[in-house]
Amino acid sequence: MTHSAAQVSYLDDGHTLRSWLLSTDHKRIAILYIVAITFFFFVGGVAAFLIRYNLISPNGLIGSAETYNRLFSMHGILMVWFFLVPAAPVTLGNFLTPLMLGARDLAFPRLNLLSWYLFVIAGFIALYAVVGGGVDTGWTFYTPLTSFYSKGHVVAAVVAIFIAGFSSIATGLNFIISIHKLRAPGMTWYKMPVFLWSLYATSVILVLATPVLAMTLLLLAFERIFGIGVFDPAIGGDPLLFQHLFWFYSHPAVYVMILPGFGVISEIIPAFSRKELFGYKFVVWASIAIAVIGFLVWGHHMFVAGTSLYSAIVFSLLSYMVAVPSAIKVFNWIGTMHKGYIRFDAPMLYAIGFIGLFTTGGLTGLFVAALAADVHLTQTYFVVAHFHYVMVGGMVSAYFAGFHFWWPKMTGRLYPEMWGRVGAILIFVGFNLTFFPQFLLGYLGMPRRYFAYPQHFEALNLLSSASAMVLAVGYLLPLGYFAWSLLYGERASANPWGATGLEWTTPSPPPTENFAVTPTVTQPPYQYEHAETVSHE
Amino acid sequence: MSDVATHEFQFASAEHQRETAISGIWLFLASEALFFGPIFLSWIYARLADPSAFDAGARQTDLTIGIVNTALLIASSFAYGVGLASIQFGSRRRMVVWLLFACTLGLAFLGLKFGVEWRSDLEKGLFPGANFSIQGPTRNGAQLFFAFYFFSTALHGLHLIVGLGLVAWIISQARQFTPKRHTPVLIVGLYWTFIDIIWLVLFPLIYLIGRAS
Amino acid sequence: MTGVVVRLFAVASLMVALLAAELAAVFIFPAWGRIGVAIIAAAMVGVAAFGFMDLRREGPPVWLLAAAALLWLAILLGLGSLDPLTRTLYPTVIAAP
Repeated sequence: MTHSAAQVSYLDDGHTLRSWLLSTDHKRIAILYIVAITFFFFVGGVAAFLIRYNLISPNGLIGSAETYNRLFSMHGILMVWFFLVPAAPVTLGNFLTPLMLGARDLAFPRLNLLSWYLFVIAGFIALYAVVGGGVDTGWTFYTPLTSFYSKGHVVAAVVAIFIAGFSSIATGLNFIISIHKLRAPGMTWYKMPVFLWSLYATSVILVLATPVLAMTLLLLAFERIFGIGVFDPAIGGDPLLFQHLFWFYSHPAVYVMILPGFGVISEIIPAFSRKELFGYKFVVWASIAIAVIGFLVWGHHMFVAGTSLYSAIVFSLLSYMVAVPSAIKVFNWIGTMHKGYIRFDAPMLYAIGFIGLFTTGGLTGLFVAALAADVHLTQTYFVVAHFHYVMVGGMVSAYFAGFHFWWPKMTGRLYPEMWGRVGAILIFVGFNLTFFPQFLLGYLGMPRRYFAYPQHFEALNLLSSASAMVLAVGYLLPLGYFAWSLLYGERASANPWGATGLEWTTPSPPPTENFAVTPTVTQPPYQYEHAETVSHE
Repeated sequence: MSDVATHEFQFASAEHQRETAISGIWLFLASEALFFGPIFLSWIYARLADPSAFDAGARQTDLTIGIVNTALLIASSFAYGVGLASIQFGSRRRMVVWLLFACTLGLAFLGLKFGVEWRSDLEKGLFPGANFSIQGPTRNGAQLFFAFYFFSTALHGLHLIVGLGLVAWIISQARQFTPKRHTPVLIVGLYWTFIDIIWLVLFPLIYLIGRAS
Repeated sequence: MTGVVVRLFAVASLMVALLAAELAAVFIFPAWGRIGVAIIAAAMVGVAAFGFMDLRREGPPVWLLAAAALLWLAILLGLGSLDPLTRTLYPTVIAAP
């Protein structure tokens, strides 16, 4: 394929603020999203820091349980809806989907830009809600606490999440339609990179689950404003209905967070093992299976809430099923590495860390999916540790892995490899030391969401809080060296990792129209055995 | 304006762009269908709590207006369909006339629903809360019904208003459309009928099930 | 043009007839019951989707999307109502206002 010298890189195609804020180029929108997402990640991180700070002492250090309630609500709301759910799809997904498809843009570029504006507006409303007055309901907004008793900016928070939801729906819709309609000639479904399959599965959840949450939040706002509604037990309404509807969205949303991560890992492991992905069809169908089965398990959040025993048993059994496709993926990644020519660059270090952390998070998920064990473990720090292993250990590791892997493509610069490896190791170690103690705390019976705790939990809490500092350094480090590389980093070639995939056939950074000539795909993905040996030049 | 269809640079042809837009609206409608899902589930929960009291509430609704409104929406989908066929067969003027007719039917629905029916419901004290007028053993179930009723009809009405805005936009842009390029007319039509479909589900839930045996 | 209008008119007439059938199921043939009403309502939705929205004309991707909407609604309503349908309700006393 030839590139004419006249092609302008997307970064140089206009330098005004307007050329960024009104751009419909998926790559520029991805950059806009990266700025917004990173901001919310660190605001949510500050809340996490204050939570851990409070828990250093058994009596709490911030002085007020009310403030503590607002802190963990702020942490949950910002991290879930303004980082974890959107992060990987709107940044990596937006940037890479057309490039991997061999397309010039997503199917609906203006809708894509609109989704960013919705996201930012929602973000500011959420910030107003959680900072100016606060919300003390937790991120789950359970009724009747939220509808009648809570004294915060509940309606503002709900409006923010409602708007953010439509941003998600727009993104998901764009991906699904683009993957259906904009594949390059020759790119059949089974020639698509796994990242696109994962993104497709993610988008199915975004499009079909988010509207349910949106309507549920409207019902909640109606009840809070008018003082009466379908969740009101005083007139025979059912507060559990809220929980059912909430978790119908929020459990699949967990897979929204992790599925793009699976996709990222499936790209990185073959590239750094110089081997074809083991069991491609199993990996892609596992993604689809997770997206579908993920909708059948939400009841396991409500085992002790008073649901019927029959439905609890059904949900418990279904919850075990979702472990199967997840395990298939883990085995396939390990199978890919087996007898591979493995290079331990930063993306691969993150990827290997991901496998360990995700597997730990997934296996402890089986503990809480078991009806009987859950009665003991639910509402304790065991649950907190479990989902942080999946969300933070899993999703954030994969997000960072992807970010390092595609950084040269996005910016045209190489990041300092040594610092990248240091960051990956710091995050892995800091993460385990922060959250493993919480498994122990939970198993010993320390409840979550409490401002104070008995004396005998102090040592483990202290360890957790101290290690959180290591984790924080690990997260701040990339901010520093990525910024450095933007200014001083070595120029990247089109394909610095020697990876397969259409995104690596176009210059780094890519020109505005992505490909000078629409590429034609003839080979399945990940043909590493047949590629020439990698060179780092 | 010429009848040569153009397309954006990410598509191979105008036909490719048209197909993509139509798939997009269908996926959006799938998402919308799930948007109404919680309303349907809340109907199930609210009715299961006390079926006879819930039905007693439902019997306070105005069935005549419900039937007329259902017929109005069916007619409006028909009118829109004829408008779409008109542009496909080359008559822009006829398209505008039929789309205006569809709009009128939609406005009539809104007038009956919110101007007449809601007003009389509110006058009868049927809005749930302290001033709810139904007393006795069916009071709670009837309140649940009316919480569902006001919420779901308001939301459906909002969708209809959005639909009216979209049809008005199509009418204002009528000069752009030709037999070969009229994808927006088709897309708005799909949304317009979708609003009907939501009503076709809400109508029995509100007016009929409570009266059936 | 005439052919299309005739077809659309037939679709609209069929839907009005189904509306009449719904009312008949409630007031004239009570034996049809709520199930009858539900079946007729579902038929009306189908007629609107195939008659007005021309679902048949669209290709397999669109059928997939429409089917997905139905399947996911079925999951929501089915698994969602499993709990209240099988729950043991203990009588509670709610203080009268």
